[in-house]
Amino acid sequence: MHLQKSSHKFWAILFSMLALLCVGVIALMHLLPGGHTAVIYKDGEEIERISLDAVTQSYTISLDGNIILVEPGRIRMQAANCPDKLCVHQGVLTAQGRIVCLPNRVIIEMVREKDAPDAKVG
Amino acid sequence: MKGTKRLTVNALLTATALLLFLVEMQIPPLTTIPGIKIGLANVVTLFSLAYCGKKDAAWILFARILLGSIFSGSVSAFLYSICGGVLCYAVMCVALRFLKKPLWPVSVFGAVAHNVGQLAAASVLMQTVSVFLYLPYLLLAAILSGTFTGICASLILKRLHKGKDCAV
Amino acid sequence: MHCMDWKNKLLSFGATLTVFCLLLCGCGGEEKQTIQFFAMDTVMQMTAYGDNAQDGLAQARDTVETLAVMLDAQKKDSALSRLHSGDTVSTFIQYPLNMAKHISRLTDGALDISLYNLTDAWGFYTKAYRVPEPVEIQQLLDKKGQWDIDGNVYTCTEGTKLDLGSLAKGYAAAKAVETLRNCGVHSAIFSLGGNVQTLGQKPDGSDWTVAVTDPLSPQDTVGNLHVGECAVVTSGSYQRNFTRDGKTYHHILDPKTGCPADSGLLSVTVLCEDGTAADGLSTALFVLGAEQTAALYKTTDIPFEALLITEEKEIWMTEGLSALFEQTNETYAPAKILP
Repeated sequence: MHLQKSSHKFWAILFSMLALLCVGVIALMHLLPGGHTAVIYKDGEEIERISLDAVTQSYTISLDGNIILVEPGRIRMQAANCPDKLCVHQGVLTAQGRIVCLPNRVIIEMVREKDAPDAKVG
Repeated sequence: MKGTKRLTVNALLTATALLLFLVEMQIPPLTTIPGIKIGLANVVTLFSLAYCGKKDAAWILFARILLGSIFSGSVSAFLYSICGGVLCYAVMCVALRFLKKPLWPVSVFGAVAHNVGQLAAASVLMQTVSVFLYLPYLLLAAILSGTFTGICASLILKRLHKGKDCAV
Repeated sequence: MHCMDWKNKLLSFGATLTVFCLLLCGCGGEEKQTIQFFAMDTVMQMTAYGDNAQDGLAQARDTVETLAVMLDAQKKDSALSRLHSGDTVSTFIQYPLNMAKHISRLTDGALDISLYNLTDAWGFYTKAYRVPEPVEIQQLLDKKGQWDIDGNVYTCTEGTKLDLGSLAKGYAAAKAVETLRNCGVHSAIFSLGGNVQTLGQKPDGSDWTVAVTDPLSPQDTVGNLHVGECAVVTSGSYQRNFTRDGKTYHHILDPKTGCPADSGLLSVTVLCEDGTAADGLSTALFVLGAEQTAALYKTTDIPFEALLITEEKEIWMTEGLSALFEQTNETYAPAKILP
């Protein structure tokens, strides 16, 4: 009985720790500064790279089946022809993260500016 | 189990799994992250593994994924399901060998494996590893949903008086 | 007892983890401000960090816009144009003029700011591009005039017309950095139409990463430069050009021939502490070519580093860059150090 109980506890504590670790990592991903460069991929290929800080006026990008709305400092999937529309429901990206449309294989990714160059010369 | 009884039990479990799967599809997504769901059908997979054995559980799982994809009508959904399902099944088989006493951790391992399998499928299909940035979300979800489905499965086993050796 | 062991371990592991996460979350970045505007016929983007960033940027923008008006060669009433009607040289124009004179002497005339009429003849101001006849080019070269500056006294021969376009953006960037520093900003980076100028270091104390444009495919880059406070300026034939009868003519004219410089280079990127010098040098080195750049590097009294990309898809860099440049583009041969 003692063994059984403790092994329940063992797993409970172990999984709680793991869950906590995940929460920590997620929090970190959200809290890290920067992250205002959006990159749009279709079928694994980079279509567009947008510095969202530099956007002053909203505009849309139409991909076959998806319409992406680019706004100052943020980006979202405005419309999509996929059945579940999860990508549209994912709402707005303002910090590091990504919107994925699995059926159309479109990814909008916000990369941290730490990984991107600070400026381009030429 | 043999003959008609086995057939009946397997058919019943497949139907139950399919039903749970379809019911879950009607629930609006809990979060905006693709791939996060309760995984109710996993209750049946775990139950059948413990109740009917590996071989039958595999057939039930396969039939459920195939039929479920036909009902949802998407090829890519089938690919994601089968990748997640196969990995989940394999990991739960291994886990069951070493871990008989509490059943629910087996389900957590399975749920984690399921999500990792789906991410792997997504990264191959979309030719990018960036989807693995979802991993912490999916792991967290897997721990929660795995615990839930695991407890469900062991409760059912207990009620069936088959799970005397499976403590909840 | 055995049980307590793993429980304690797990608990201490969890506690450490929590503290670690909290610590990391506490380290937020400094406030970041970015502005973008048009001046000098190009897009100016300025980013500054810290408390005074917003104020500083507004003033820095004023600085740039004021200089843009003063140094405009095409406006008849700009301070630059008024030099020719005998105005004394305002302090703002002294510096770039002196720098132009200095670099011109240093590079044996590879930088010449008195090519206004020639540039106009090629149509680079009006964008009505044309290829002037050799006779016309020779005539314009013959009468382009001479100028000199001594203190605040500017002298020139009849018909001289200046164009500070090859230094103006670099100078404006340097002045804007000065403005920002006076406002108490310690960390900023500008891109004035592709001229990069930094102030201090990044807020986290690390170096800035400046990507160098791929001259064969300007939306891509060849690699990154990791730099502290300095100016980084590129002159390239890809920046402005036109094609006539299958031949491409770019905007960097060789003062000796009056035609687009043909030194075998696609682009020159100069790293220099002085923004004005970086801008002027990049033009001059593009005209000089790789060999003479190597020679100049050894004798120059303005310290600089340079990255040259040739038509043979080679990348040459001066010695000091080897530690700062990180090539990311493999369509070019690995960068080599200029002999």
